[in-house]
Amino acid sequence: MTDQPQIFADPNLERLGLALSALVAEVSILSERMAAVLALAEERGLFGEADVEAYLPDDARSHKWQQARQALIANVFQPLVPEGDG
Amino acid sequence: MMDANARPPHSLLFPASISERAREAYWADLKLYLEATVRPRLRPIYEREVRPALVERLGREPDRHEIAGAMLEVDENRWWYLLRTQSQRRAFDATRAIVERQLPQLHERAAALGNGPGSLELDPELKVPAYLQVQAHCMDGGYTGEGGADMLAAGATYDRGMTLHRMGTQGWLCDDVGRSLVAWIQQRFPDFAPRRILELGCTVGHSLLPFKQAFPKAEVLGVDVAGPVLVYGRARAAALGVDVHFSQQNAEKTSFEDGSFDLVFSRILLHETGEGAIPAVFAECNRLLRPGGLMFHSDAPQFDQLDPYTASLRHWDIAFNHEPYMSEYYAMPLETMFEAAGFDPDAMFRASAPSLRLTEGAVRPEETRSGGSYFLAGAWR
Repeated sequence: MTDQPQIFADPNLERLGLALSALVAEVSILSERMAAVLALAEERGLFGEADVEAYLPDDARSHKWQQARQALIANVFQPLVPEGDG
Repeated sequence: MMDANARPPHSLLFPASISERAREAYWADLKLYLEATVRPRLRPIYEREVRPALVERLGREPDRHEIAGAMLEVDENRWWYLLRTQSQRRAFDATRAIVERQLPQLHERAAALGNGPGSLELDPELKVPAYLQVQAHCMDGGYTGEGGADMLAAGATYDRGMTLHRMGTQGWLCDDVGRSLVAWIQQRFPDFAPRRILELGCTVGHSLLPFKQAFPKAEVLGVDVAGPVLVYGRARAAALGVDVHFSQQNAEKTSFEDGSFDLVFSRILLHETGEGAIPAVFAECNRLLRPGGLMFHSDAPQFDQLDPYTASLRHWDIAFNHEPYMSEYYAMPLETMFEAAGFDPDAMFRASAPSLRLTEGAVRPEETRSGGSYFLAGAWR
């Protein structure tokens, strides 16, 4: 949390708002990245949206994606989590 | 819409990666949405619910403090405050992360540009005034780059942030204010041809450069207490090929000779300074100007120009955006203070310079925080 003054009487509501705004950031970034990948692939005649939907990752990729997912969760929910290393 | 990443307005602004710029653009767009779409919808709540209750309780019309306090009880406005603060902070964080990753590139480019046509004079001994906010408008490090040793990072963050966070509403060189102010001066005072011009608190030169471009024969100088923004400003001016001179000095007391300027001005400087500094700045303007010279200061309009509800909107900046001196500055009787600094009351003016970007149809009024014009107050010496 930042040093800014409290706005809502209920701090949980405040944290939820911060989490929500961070979540939408991630969704927005992801959408733009995905749009860039698809645009590149289509421009170069490689694949389209249906190929992406049907794709199955191997184990190494699955692991990498899980790490990314966990980082996303930690980032989005950070405002709801107590400060410090625990 | 044109993207400044795809076509950078000058060679010190480098494209960010897609993830970086999507993050930066998200927080910037959230700010714009909150300013242009959400905030106007809060006024009807005030008129319909909050004002009648305040009038009944107080037995009179409420002032800006009472309105701001009562509006903080309105949930919709609380969400606005929360998200506006977060988007302000996170937009600068995103920009700073981009600039930090690009620092080697930035230094290389700045070194290659050399001095350009202008000059830079730093004073490492200059004491930074206590009023300068380390987190001015939620930009970590503020103007001085406190906490980081890099001499280009603070200016680059400020420049990139100002350019991209307003989605180009100021123009991609962030110069709409400067261009609009100088256009107003040239139109209003067509015979005024300053030979030497000084901007106080010029930061990276967003408003300074348009004065050189409008008065190409004039010698144009800018001072600021923060060295890092001047280092970047010199490099940026070199990149744009504009001949301006930057000097690290305090506007309260500069090293220039008496009567050595025809025009001395500031833009969004005074609300960053404390109550004690402002009379000294006005007195310094009087000292620096030749007889027949012009002083003006441009900032958001004084509270006495606004209706109480509009004035109450500044509460967010004051309490949440690290702009504590706005409250006292916008309440100051400028003309009384100009007179105390030696200016003649008959030679003073207040004006509103229309935004050229708005006149050109490039932006809508609600997209500009200024409402489409720039307030200025000044006096002839």
